Amino acid sequence: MKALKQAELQLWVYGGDILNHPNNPNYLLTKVVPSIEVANRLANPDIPKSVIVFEISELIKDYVTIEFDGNYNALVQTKWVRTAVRRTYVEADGTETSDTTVKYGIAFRGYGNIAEGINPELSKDLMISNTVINNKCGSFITAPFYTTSEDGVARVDYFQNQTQLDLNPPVGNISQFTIAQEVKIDSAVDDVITIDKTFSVTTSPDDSISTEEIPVDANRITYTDSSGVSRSIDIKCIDDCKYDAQKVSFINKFGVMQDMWFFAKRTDSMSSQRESYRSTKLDISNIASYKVSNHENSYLENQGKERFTMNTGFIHESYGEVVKELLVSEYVYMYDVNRFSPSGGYSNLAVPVSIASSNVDIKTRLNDKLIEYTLEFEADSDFIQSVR
Amino acid sequence: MAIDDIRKINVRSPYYITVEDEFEPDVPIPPDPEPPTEPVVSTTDLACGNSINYAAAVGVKKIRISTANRQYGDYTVTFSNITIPIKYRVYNEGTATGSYTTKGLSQYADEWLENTGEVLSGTAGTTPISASLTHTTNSGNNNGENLILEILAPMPISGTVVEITSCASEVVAPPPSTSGYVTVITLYNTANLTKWVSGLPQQASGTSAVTIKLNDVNITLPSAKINGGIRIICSDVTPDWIVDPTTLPYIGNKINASNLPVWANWTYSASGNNGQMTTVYVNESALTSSLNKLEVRTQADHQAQYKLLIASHPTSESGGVNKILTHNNSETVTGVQMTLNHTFGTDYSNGQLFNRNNIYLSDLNEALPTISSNIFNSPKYVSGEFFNDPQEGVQFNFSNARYFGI
Repeated sequence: MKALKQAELQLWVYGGDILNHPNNPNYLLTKVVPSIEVANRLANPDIPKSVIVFEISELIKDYVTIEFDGNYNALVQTKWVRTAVRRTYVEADGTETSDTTVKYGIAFRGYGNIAEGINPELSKDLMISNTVINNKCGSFITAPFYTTSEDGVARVDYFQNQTQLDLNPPVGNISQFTIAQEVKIDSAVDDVITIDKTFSVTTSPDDSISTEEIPVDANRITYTDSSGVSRSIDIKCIDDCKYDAQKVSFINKFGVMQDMWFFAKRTDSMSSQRESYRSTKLDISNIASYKVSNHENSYLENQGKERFTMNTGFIHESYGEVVKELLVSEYVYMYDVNRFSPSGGYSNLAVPVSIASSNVDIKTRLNDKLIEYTLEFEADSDFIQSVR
Repeated sequence: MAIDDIRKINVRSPYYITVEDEFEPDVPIPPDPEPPTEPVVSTTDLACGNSINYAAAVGVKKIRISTANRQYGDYTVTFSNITIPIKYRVYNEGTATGSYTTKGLSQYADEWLENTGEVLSGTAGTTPISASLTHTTNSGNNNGENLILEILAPMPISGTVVEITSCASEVVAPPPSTSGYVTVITLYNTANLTKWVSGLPQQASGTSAVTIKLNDVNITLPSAKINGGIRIICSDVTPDWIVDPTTLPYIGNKINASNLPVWANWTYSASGNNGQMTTVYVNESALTSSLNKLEVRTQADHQAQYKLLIASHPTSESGGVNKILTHNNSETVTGVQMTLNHTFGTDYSNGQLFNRNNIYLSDLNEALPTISSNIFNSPKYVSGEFFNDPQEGVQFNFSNARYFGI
């Protein structure tokens, strides 16, 4: 008869080659079953077995940081996780034996809600919540897919209505465990639509390579998982001739970068925060007089903060879920159209912002007829450099 | 080690690892395991010049190397970034024979022995090694079967790259003396070649902005003017082809302004606003029986429109050799054609920006030449800047509809 005495968890969180984890784990946790419980179990095999539970999400999260400058090819949003659990059993005579179980995972800064149960894995195909992609006509569009050889997306096809235009299966030297991040559509050249896909390299979520497909007039993406089940998502472009559409990228519920366009009105505002004291302008160096040109009000600080209010225009109803995810996103970016991302890729520079809106009514076609949202964003940094 | 189960972990939600006491005091005797079955190994097709990066792989991997449309000769496979030992061999598809070659670092000798029972004579050190394997096909060992490259990785490998670095030469296009046909590719301007200057098109004086290549051999477009063009004769000049003057005169200028060059004279000189039509010869030994690449490229600061006609002309003998090329015989000469619009331009003069069609032709010097694909690449304007896609381009429209009487 043996009883579980303790469990030791070694936890690695790392990037690069999944098979090339660091020698030393990032964390080493040990939990011991109370000795009285072990003794009772050894004495009576009929009593319930001991169970040890580790909660490791916060430990992993410290290492899953988003690195994004606007260039999807250089986007880092995942890390590999390796766990090795060593169980130690003890017998009545004190003899100890142990076994070790090693498991791998891929960590995202995603989350589930309570209805999705414990340890939620969420979607293993298209990693967005909207059921229609609204994008600015002629602009890039991104659609993150989870692609693995075991589960996830095994094939992506492009259609114009019922006509298949092209196919882009993630095969060849792109396989096993990848996150396909980018699908671009560019109709800058007449009515030709360009679709690019970027996959992470097989063993490294940090690196990426890209391939290109250009179906003509694609308005639907169909993706097929490894079990052969196919689903589709429509692409509907919106062109607001009055306003310049603004793109916002954010880490969504699934922990991957998602784009959302704000097609309608944008207003910018700025607030300032001042702290000052009254200083003397009395001059008694000769005869008493006032230095009338000196400031009497001296600032300890006069700092500013920029805010942006943007309206989505009329978009698909399913974007209600996206708005919810945007409200609770930790990483939100706008784009500086006058600067390129330093890592290249013909992308504009991503500028971090914070979501300032805290209350948003989620709209439905039943209640609201047409769906549009107005959200407020705040610059991530102060107007004047303040980090020392 | 094969990683066959990777869990998605969403770290903004709690993630629990539950460790259970799985010791069973009275373990029932397990039933006999199912007899092992031979695993099904899929075969991956790999074209000559392409590679596979086995970033994380274990077990048997099979790569099919096509011998279609190739002569007998050498096929060379190059392995790079080998650290963990592998075994490999090449055989004809359907006949798994031949001995393995083993390559790897000797530091894995103990694990290799444990996994395979074989003693490893590997390379010392930690630097990844490379290896190559050359397999020669001939009439004695290959009846046209494809080749299978079999890689055996008893231990998980990581980052090993397998590349088909060279293959036997492709079968060349048949000579007209065998097939009875010679293919003639005609490319001519349907508009004057223009250059963008300060946002306005101006007629170009030369054709240096235009690049024409057949199987990477440069061919010069003789004129920037409308109707100026080139007829590429897919056979050596030595027969000194004589164009059968059945219907039209083939010397001098175009018949009249309404005649399109492909239906008009075989060659003609520049006249007025029209450019000249000249000929060039490409030996059939430089052409394959399968795919031949015709590249037509125009710098993006120029604007051009071309017409392309690919036609096979029956040949006949004169003086004991095939040297009569039939032209304008509506009964027998057919061809396919397409229009190339190189109009997606910019006046930003950059040699890296271009409009380009890569047209792949097959069945040259046969009765019915065909277009297999037409890949178009043009500059795009994104985020305030023009650029050509780094990839070759995208499939563009083409048709193999036949035109008669050309």
